[in-house]
Amino acid sequence: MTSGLHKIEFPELASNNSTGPDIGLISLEGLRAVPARLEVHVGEVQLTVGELLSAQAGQVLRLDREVNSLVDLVLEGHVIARGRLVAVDEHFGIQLTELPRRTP
Amino acid sequence: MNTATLRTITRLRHEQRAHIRSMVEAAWTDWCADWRMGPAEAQVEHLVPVPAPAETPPWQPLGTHAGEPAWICGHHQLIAAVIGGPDRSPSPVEQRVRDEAMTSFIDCCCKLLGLAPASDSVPHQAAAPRLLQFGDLRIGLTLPSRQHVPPAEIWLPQQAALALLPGGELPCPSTSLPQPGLVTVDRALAERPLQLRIMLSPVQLSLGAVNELQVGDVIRLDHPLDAPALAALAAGRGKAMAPLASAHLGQLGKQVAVRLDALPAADQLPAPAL
Repeated sequence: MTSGLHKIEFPELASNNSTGPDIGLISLEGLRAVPARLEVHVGEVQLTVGELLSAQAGQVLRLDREVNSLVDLVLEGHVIARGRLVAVDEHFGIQLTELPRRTP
Repeated sequence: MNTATLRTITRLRHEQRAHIRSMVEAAWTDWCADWRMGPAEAQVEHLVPVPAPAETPPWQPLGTHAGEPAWICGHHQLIAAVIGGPDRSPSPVEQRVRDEAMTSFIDCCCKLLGLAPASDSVPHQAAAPRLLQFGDLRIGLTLPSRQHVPPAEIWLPQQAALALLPGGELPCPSTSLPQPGLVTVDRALAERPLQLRIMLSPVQLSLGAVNELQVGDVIRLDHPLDAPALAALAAGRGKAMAPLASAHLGQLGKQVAVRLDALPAADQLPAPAL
């Protein structure tokens, strides 16, 4: 048996709220590298189960937005920005027009 | 009393009522033939399920079926009107003839209605109204040619009435009661509203990049202009959405619109956005 081994004893930690100083992660700065998946919601249409079951290929559905309306940029179910759909080369793009106000 | 059976008797079909009616009229016809009274002229004027009437006629036992008594009243006047006239007091001999005529009529009724003759154990008049129950049949027999003679009344327990039906069987409540037809699941849900959401391919950015977004910035999506969008069932904020179909963006007048593509197999749809 290897000599010099000792049993580890962890200090008892109280589970109450800490009153110490912030650890420095007061914003998302410390999480900058964490990937986020943003959904782009163009619009919605309401229909019934019956209408959906009888839907056919080629059927046109009118969405709840006008052509020049903004689309939503959604993070975890929350709209974090809005913007205008644009073409970037051969791809869609979003030019942001609305962002939430940032607290100083 | 079995509630289902009670419902059954109150919902007798027309032909079932007609059958019971014919049995009662046949009892009168048989009695007329026995007493050589010529062509029968009585008919059933009503055949209704109780509730009990406000007045309580002087019921007398008619017979029993499975231990339950049936009752009769008013037949004295009916018979008297036929064999001697009700307006004058009968002589003792006439009264004896009437009594025999009434006994004979009761025998005919018991025979045609499937009742055992009433015994002395059957309670008389005072007990009768308390025994009448909702679901029993009240049958009125009149003489159409003698409107002034009130109808005779027969109170038939529901079990006795049911036993008279063709086949002598109790109708099965499950088949005699009207039941709503079955509908398929898709029809049951046909009117349920759904929200179909149209989405472009999601874009992945670092939280740092998201946090630095500015108005005017352009985010290039990894979604070719000619590629269809995804139509998915919206399941509420923050919940996974079920991809349903692909759809090409377009416009319909001033509104954004989509043209649905053929519905792909479930495993060919993009995974729901999480």
